[in-house]
Amino acid sequence: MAGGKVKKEKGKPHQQQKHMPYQGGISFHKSKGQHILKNPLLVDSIVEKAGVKSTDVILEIGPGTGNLTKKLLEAGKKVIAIEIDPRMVLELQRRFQGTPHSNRLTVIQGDVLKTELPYFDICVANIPYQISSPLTFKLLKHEPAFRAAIIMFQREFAMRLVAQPGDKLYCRLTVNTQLHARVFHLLKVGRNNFRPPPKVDSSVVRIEPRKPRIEVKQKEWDGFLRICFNRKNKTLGSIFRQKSVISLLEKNYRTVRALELGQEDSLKEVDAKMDFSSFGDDQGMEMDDDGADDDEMEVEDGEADEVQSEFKDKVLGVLKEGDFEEKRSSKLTLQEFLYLLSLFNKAGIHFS
Amino acid sequence: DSSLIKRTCKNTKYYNLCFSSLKSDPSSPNADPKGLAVIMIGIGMTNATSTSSYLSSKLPTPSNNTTWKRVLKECADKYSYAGDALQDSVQDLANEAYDYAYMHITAAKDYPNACHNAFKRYPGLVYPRDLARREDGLKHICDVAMGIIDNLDW
Repeated sequence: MAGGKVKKEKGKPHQQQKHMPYQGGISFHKSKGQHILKNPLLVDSIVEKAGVKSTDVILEIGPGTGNLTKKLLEAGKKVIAIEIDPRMVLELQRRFQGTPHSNRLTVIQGDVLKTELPYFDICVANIPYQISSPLTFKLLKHEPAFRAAIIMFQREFAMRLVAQPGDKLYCRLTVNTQLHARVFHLLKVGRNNFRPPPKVDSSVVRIEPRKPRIEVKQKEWDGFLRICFNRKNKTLGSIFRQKSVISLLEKNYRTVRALELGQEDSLKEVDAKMDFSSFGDDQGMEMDDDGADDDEMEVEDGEADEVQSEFKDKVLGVLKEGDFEEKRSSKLTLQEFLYLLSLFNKAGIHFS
Repeated sequence: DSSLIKRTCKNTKYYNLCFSSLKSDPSSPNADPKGLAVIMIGIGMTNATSTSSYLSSKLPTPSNNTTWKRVLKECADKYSYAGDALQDSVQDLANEAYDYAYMHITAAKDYPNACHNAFKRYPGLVYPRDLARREDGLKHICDVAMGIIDNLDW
């Protein structure tokens, strides 16, 4: 019987050889961009740095076949794993079936960006890098706030998250993330720790939501940062002198004043839908501006009427008041951005 | 001509296991590297399936030790899953989905750990020496298969 079985099994290679050998140029049926972590020491290190307590509910995103899941189940109280790939879900479920861990593991098959997240204390994620930004901000908006998230990102993305003012990779993404959370770089992970090896190295970061949260009107903040980082290495004075910026802010200003004064006639004359999104791409990771000047945008319009000139003076006055005119976004701290926005708001100038 | 086998095995973790396994297979002289991976995976399937059967054959023990019975059953299931995962990886290779093939072999390699851990949960149970040998055997076969796939062009 055993001998017969062996023959049956070995017959399969013959069948397989009927398939065409690899010819090159054929596109692979790639998985969803995930890379399986090969190095067991890394798995242990990630669990240790996650600081999992025995009472923790752990959200694991992208568990793959569960190498990390097992460690998390041993360390925490419960693991909720979200895995987009149904084949990996099957292996994950089979792996823990019948073990004492099975009643403490919940596997959700689905896209994490489209899944309503449950309560969790700690999040551990190994994700396709293309969802790095939307996932980060989905987590940061999650209520109630978790204690920490330990996430593997492409190295450059990770370095943007942890960048400090003056760093080359400091950008709008940095400020937006650090508004919500403190971010720490934990580990550099060379590409050879994965299969298939990604083209770039990775980093593990720890994200701790700020408690208490910094209160800011999100649309206002976003519109403001888009303008500030429009050219992050130009002075704020030169950015806010641009006709396009002044024009947009002034329309907004008149709308706000009309609302405050209750003059509906004035309101009707003004287009209330401001479009701040034309400044900077959605991800806040626009190409670095290494000092390239666009002189045309800086030309002051000598023919501007008194109202426009008056408003421009108002804007520049705010910058002068806070001593921001000669400063650059690439070197401003989070606190300085918050302060400048509050100065603008006090002057009745808004960004949403 | 075994030069392809030698070249292929040189990139794997266990050269001797790789060479002796592939050399003794009657279809290996005509195989390309992917075919060699399939042969190795087939050997892994045989290994996993036979371990699962071996464990199942030990189930109806005269003793009414339900813990022992439960753990053996769990292990038999795990090795059966390992066989299934390896079967999936053969299909993946046929589809040139090398990343999935790698994933399924990684899964197959870990099912023996799940079995071993099942024994560890009960201090009274001793992990059988012959099962430990089978565990290492399957893991090494999987390592060789993964080493071959690592060097396919993908």
